Amino acid sequence: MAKQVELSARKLSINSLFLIAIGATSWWAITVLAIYSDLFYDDYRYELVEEEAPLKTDEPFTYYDSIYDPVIHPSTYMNLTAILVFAMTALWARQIARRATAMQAENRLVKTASVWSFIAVIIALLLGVVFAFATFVSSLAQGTGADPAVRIFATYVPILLSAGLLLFVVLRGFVIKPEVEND
Amino acid sequence: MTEQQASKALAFGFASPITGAALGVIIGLAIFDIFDTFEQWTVVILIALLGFSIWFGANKSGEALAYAKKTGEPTAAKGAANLNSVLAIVWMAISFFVSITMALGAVNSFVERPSYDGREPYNPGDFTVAFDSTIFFGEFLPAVVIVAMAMFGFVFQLVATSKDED
Repeated sequence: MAKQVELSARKLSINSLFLIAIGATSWWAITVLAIYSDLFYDDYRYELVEEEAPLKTDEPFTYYDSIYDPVIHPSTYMNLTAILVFAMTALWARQIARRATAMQAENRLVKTASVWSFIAVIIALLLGVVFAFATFVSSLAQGTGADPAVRIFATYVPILLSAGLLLFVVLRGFVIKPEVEND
Repeated sequence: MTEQQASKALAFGFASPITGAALGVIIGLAIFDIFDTFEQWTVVILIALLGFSIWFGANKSGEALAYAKKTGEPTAAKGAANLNSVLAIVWMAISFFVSITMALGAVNSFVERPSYDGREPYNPGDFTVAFDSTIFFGEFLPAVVIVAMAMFGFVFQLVATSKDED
């Protein structure tokens, strides 16, 4: 019976660790996709400008002038999705690790799973904070002349969603913990 | 497991990651000297070699640790298991960083810019994003393999070092 409990606890711990690995790999994949999508959206458009040469005998001087015209980047929401996926798998892994701890707290693998699920939740929180801060800082660079719709969906909404996600992860991870069945 | 087998496992636990790291460095240098290039798939092989040596070391130190727990004798098994755990974390972090750097490099390689002859004004917005199978299989796929290896290999390494109750 004790051996069976130990095996179950080990199995739960392995599942928990694999969930974290799946979450981190998903974060990686969605982040790379977001960076790829950024190639198709540019905050600048370029217009050909022709200036008269100082000497009338010379040809007119032409160059491309960059005009700041911010657009909503899908990558903003893709990055947020990546953090959401990682955070959800981390929370799920933590829940499984807590079940394993309730079964056999002294097992080394159970302790490992518990520690790593905790670290994963902390990393998810850090990613959320970094995302919100980066969105805020990049919005300062936009200035006040941007289209209000672009401003709202490129800055305000992602920051609000990020704050909501952080709040959910903190509460779910450390305050409102689901009941653990003691098998 | 006998005491002799346990000490052999402990020796492997300490020796395996050192041997793997040394072998990886030597092979990497040899490839660079012979072919004068360092392809992405070479990095995959080197990271896999290093990961395998850490996993093997973790497995053996886990066996030694399980024996030490059973007999109650103080050995260096815990030290070996901890060493391999730390090496596994470092290996995972470096592999993850390498994979994301490699993937970003590959994504940027999909951008094609027209040749600039110096007469036309340079237009920074004039580029196309085109799929290139050579870049995909030569630069992007190795990055995917490395990240999968880093994440799931790390789990196997953690499981291998935590054999104390077997």
